Amino acid sequence: MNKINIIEGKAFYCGDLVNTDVMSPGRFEPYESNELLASIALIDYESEIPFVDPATKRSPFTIIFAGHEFGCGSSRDSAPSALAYAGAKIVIARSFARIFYRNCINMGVLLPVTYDHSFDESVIGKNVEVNVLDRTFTVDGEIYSYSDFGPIKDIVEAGGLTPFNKLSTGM
Amino acid sequence: MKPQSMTHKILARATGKKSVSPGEIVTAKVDMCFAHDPVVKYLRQYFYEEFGKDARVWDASRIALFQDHLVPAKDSASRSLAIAMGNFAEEQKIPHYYPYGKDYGICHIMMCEKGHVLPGEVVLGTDSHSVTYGAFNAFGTGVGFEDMLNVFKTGELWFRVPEIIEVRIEGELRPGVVAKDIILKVIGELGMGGASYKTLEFTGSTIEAMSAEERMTMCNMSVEAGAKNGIMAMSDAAEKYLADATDKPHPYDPVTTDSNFEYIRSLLLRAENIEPMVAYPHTPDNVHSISKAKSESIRINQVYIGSCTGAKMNDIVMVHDIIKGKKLADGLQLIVVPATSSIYRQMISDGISSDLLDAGAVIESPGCKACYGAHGGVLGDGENCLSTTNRNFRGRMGNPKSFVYLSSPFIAAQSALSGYITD
Ligand code: SF4
Repeated sequence: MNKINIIEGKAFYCGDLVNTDVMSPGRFEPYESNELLASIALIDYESEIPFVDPATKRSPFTIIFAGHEFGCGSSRDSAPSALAYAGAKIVIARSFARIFYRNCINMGVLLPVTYDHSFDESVIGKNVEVNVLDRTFTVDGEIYSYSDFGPIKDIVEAGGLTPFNKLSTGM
Repeated sequence: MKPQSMTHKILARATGKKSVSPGEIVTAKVDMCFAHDPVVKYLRQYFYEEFGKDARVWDASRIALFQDHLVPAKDSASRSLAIAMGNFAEEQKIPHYYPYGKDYGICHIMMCEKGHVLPGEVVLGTDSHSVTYGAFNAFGTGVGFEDMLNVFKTGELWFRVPEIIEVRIEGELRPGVVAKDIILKVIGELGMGGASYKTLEFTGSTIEAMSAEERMTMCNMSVEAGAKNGIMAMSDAAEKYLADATDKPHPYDPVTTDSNFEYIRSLLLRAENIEPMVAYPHTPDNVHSISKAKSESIRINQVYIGSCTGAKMNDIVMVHDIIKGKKLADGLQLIVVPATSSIYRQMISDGISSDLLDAGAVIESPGCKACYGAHGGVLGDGENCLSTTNRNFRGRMGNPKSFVYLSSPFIAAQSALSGYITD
């Protein structure tokens, strides 16, 4: 993800405490393919507009605005993977649950940005541009900036824990 | 030196430092870790892809492998997970490999039963309920796939040093009130994100007097408040459990919190004031007292005794004490899934199994089963289940149109007799 500087696309919105069970329910285990995971992303999350379009089995949304404790619950890496395979590239949440956050950072599939935004359902479908290099995002012409990843920014920039470890230890 | 908590002391020791401070990122050496069947097939694949086809794990004796989520295989894809794990165990000569068979069960209970969790150590698992190990004064926490992939290779992992919340419980519990009620009450007070990234340290006379298995129940569900780990000082009961778990435990070094350590928050509960609690659908912090639940006459279709939270020997004994010699409510199904084969065996040798069967229960083979909804007890649309498990998110038990309530084994058993949630 370090190589992508601009992420552009439509926004989705999730409320507080959206857990990994609704992102990739255990009843679909074993998740046999990335296509299957993409098609079930957020399938048990109740919303008027589904995250995944049932016709294409992909998500029209690239950026997810979320509330508090996004990704609480289990440690399953299938949760961030499902969102990513469906088409999401970045989640901007008021706060994250820790294993989900670790999974995002260490797998490098989905960029987890912590930002105390005030968006709600009305943001769904709006165009958002994120400048990963400058750490800003733009909605309705307004620019918001978020802080960097602090002591773990090297892992984010390496694209995940495995590439980071390979770079730093030469393994 | 600033006063340290037991969690900080473990992380400092594992990092080779004198002390650590909340917020700091440290790289800690891992004493023991495990992975289970949903991930090992993929861990194996990526391990060789990323680190080379001849790559070796850092220390095979510090890795345990469990088959618990998808056994017995519900389909061929599930079976392929088990086969891949067998191959990995063989290739890497992993001694602590527990396949479906003679001696297996739910990872967290197996970890404790087999003596893989020792005081003062860093113990990781690819499962969020790895927080259970704080019951034995270890720093236990759940990590993701990529973390474990790297731990397998390097034996270490980065952590943010947590702030510590004290949960102090003093006094004697009323009859019929157990650890599950206390932890539900705590989760209700803190909320699901209330301990996010933080430690829950359990203290007080109620904890000191608790059995080892009840301590496990408390720590197990600390993740439902978002906690990074739950932890307790060692007790006589915990020492005794460890001594039984392994005939020759290697020497261990428990840690305690310095007396003048400053918690970021302290929650004090009087044991006498705690009532049996029930978590309503669809979150574990949606807790209400049994008096309220009773007043609402909530009809239930299924009672599920299972999981790493509610299917240890003491949980099943609680159920047995109530159900023995009685009959289940009409039309209700009671599913009992012992956590491990050794519990299963003890149920048979103690005559518990036949009493439960006589009452109308069905006893399934050990495993995660319906706890996470993959198989073995999925509900119909609109049906209610009362469960001794730890999570009741929408769809958690396999059907997003069903409703899951959480309680202690005691309340679950009483309710199985009446058909309504009751004590
Ligand atoms: S019993 Fe349930 S909560 Fe425990 S490890 Fe298995 S699926 Fe997870």
